[in-house]
Amino acid sequence: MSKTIVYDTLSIPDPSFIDDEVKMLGSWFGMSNICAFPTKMSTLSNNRNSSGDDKTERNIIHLKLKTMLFDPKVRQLVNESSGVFQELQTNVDDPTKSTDALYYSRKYRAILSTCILAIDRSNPDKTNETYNQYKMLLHNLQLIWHLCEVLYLVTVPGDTILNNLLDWIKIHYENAENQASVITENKIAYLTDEHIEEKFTFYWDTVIGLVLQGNIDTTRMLLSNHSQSDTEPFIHAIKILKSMPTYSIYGGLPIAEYTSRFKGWQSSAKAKLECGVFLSDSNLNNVMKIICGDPDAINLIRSHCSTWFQFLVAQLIYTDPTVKKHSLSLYAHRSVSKYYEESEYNHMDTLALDLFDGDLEGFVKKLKSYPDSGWSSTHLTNLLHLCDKIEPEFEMSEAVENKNPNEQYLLDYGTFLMTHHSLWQAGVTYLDYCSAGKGYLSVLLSKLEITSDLRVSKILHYATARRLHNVVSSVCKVKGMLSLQKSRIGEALCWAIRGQDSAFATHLGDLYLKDYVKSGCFSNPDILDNLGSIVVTCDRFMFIGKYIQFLKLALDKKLNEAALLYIELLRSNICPEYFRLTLLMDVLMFIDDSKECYFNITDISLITMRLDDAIMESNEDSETADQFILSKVVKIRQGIVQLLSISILKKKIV
Amino acid sequence: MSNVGIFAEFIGRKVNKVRWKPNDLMASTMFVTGSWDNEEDNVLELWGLTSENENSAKDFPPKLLDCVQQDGNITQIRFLDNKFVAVSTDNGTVKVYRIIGENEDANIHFNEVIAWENLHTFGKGQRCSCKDLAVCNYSLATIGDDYKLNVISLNTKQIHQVLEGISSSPLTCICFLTETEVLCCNSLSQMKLWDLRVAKSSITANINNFTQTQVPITCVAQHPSQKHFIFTGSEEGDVGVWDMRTNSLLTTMSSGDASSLTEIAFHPLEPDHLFTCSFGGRLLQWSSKKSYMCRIDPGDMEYSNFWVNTDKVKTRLSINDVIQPIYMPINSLDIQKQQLICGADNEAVYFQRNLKL
Repeated sequence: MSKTIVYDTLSIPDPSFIDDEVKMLGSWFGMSNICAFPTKMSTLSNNRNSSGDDKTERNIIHLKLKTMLFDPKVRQLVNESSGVFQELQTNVDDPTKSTDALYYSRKYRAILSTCILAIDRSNPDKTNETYNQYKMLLHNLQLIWHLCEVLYLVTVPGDTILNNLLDWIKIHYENAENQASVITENKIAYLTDEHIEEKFTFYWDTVIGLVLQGNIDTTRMLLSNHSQSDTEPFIHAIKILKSMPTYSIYGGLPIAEYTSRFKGWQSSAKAKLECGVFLSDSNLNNVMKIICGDPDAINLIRSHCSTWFQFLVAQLIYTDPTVKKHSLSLYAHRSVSKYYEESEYNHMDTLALDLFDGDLEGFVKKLKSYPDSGWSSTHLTNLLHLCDKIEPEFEMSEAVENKNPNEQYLLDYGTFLMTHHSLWQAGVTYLDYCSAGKGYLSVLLSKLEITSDLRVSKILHYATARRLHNVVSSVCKVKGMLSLQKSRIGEALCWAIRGQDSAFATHLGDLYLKDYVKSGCFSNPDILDNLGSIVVTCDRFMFIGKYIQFLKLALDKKLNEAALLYIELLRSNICPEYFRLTLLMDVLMFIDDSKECYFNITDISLITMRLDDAIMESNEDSETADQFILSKVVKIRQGIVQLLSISILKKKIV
Repeated sequence: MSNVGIFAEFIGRKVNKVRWKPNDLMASTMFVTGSWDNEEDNVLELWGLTSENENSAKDFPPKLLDCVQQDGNITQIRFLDNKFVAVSTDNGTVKVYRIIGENEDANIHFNEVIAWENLHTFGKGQRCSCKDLAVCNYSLATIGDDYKLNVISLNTKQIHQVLEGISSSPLTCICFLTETEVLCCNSLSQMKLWDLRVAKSSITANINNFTQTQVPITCVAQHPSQKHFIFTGSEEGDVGVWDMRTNSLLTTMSSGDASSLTEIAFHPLEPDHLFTCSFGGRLLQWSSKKSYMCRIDPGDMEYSNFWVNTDKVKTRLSINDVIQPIYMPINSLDIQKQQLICGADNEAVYFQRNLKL
């Protein structure tokens, strides 16, 4: 029993499916496509009426998986990350190499950013909707990945996590900082005594945005650019901001000491706020309220935050700056409930909440359904798995098969990449690292369409390196048969050698020999003269090799050696049946004018014996021994008699 | 192994061939890539290195200057001079392009000069690959799956000579030994030498590797200064050194990487350095030069006969990775001056600005 997971549901708005009697059937088409078609499930009575006059159009619908990852611009994400993935896996196995999870996490994030940049470059005026969507998806992914990195991969002494969280927020919500630099870099306003807060309508939004990111220095700079900056309230405000104690892990200040200083600073600020020092400017008053951690300011903070986690971090700065990692979960839940009036979480919210909760398993499972075809879940799970943040067996109770999610994700992602005409090589990388991957590879590699010789050489390379002999032999067989169809025996033989397919080689050897019987010479001399290792693995080619050697010796008139080889050939009986007579005919070569004797009496009896065998077999095969064979037999017999007479004359053997 | 100065650019198509556009005096700033395995969408692309401002040297990332659709996987790209480039595809087509440079036109682009569609063909509409292409002084020699060797003269733009049935096992690569001698290698580890002056197709030499193994020769290169030395790369990752004066195999060298070599090339000006790239994703530099630490004896005559001396090859050759292994087949490499470029199956081109020679 295996669990069925529904990844996606879609409806097909085709009119032919509207009919109640019509059922949708589908079948796999290739590796990643589905063909869906309507079939009328009709009863017999209906069938009689409707047959023949059904004029409605029936479409076969071809469903193809469209994914972000296969877009030409996003393909670099797949390719580059597969390189990093491979590097990480090899380094894990190698004890001399360091495998710093943080380093690799940053590498993956860098790949994401590069990809976003590439998308931006190809879509400069942001008119392409698809690319805008891709960019948004990748951007969110980067955000969530970074949060995961901050919470789980970065080690913070004392677990005071706020500074890291601030870094995270600052990188992903850079709007306030960008606006601030627009304001401060505007020298004209400074020189012409314009009111800067009037010139830039977003002035106070920017200030609050900066305060909510804990960016105090820039806030001060902005405040001092304000037209009223030399008035009492502004001077006070700037002074308060300047004296805000900052916590740094390596600052040498113990947490308790820092907390008391912070409390002292905040209460003095609060005192000023309550005295109404800032009341003259309502915006400034609001800013100071936020800084004092005033509960009234919550709504204001909320309206300046686009997500609840931004809200969470903003609150923490002025309420609990030394927050520990383990208490984040509590704060997170509080912020979510404060931020949303109703529970209307989107995917990102639940992902982030799982991270704050420390529920990595749940997080990883939810990440799987992120619309990036499993890119993030595969890489992040793998990374977390390798640094032991996820227990390998966490799903053991449910999973029947002995697979951890890391492997399951690798398997899914790898199989998915294998469906692409160009990225299949990257898919191999992932399948290599699952225990079941070899079986998958052996099926998928042999299923790849053989479109070019280049591809064949790559498939063979991958299959050979992984000892998938069945793939090698099946690909070679296919190529060999294709060559044979073009009647290119030499090429087919190359594939037979490559695939170590001795049965196929035997067949090809037969073709060569039959051709020789017909024409009296061998084709493809360049191959047959240099047979190499095939003679050892295939009997037929051993015979061909020896026979060609024999022919050469005979041609060079080295008849003594030729005779030895000839007898050897007959004795070993490796000659195929159809070739026997041809071989025996060669006995006539040894009869020449010199009356030299090459055979002794046992040799001649062997020749006679083989001739008898051949005659017997040919009689068995066909009742009517044809005239051609008979004339040959007669010739051979004459030859044998001549040889015998020569040897008797020479050696006087009786 | 140093990582300094290596850049990668992902170009969205697997790269089968990459070539620098030759430049006589300066380091080249343009290169050409040919893609493969991208369904019907295989292209020849021209890239230019870019610089941030006028003064800084041109560098990666490159800018796409032109892109021409091809009718199949690109099997070979060879520059004839610094303007003309010949391209072959596995659909049996050979085309010659002229690169219209910056001083001729506002935008740099390819201009098709001449094309031979179905130069290699089985007839009946079957795909027949043009396997490899070699150039020598404005003559082109091509080999294909149809066992034909075509010699094309670019001065007359005509097919000069056709030799048919030059092999009975698949041909793999071709190279000119001299202007009139062509060497063809096949997948049974055999090499055949053809003399183009002899009227009818006749073999002048038939060289076999008698090591009993019939490993396909995948690539071939000629020593730039000692023209009688031929270097072959095999599918099992070793390099064979052949002496064409005696038609014999001098030695084989192995790097320990047993995957198929895809391209073998000498540094054109520093023949002591040989470069190979392989399916295993490694780009290796084989240096026969003595280390700088050693005292160089100016009268060392043995040195010029380095490759003949098998012992020396075994002891003095040093093999180094030029770039970090990338775990995906590297299909092609090219060197010009001090800069090296290579293209791989992870849809990237890698650029090394300063080779250590």
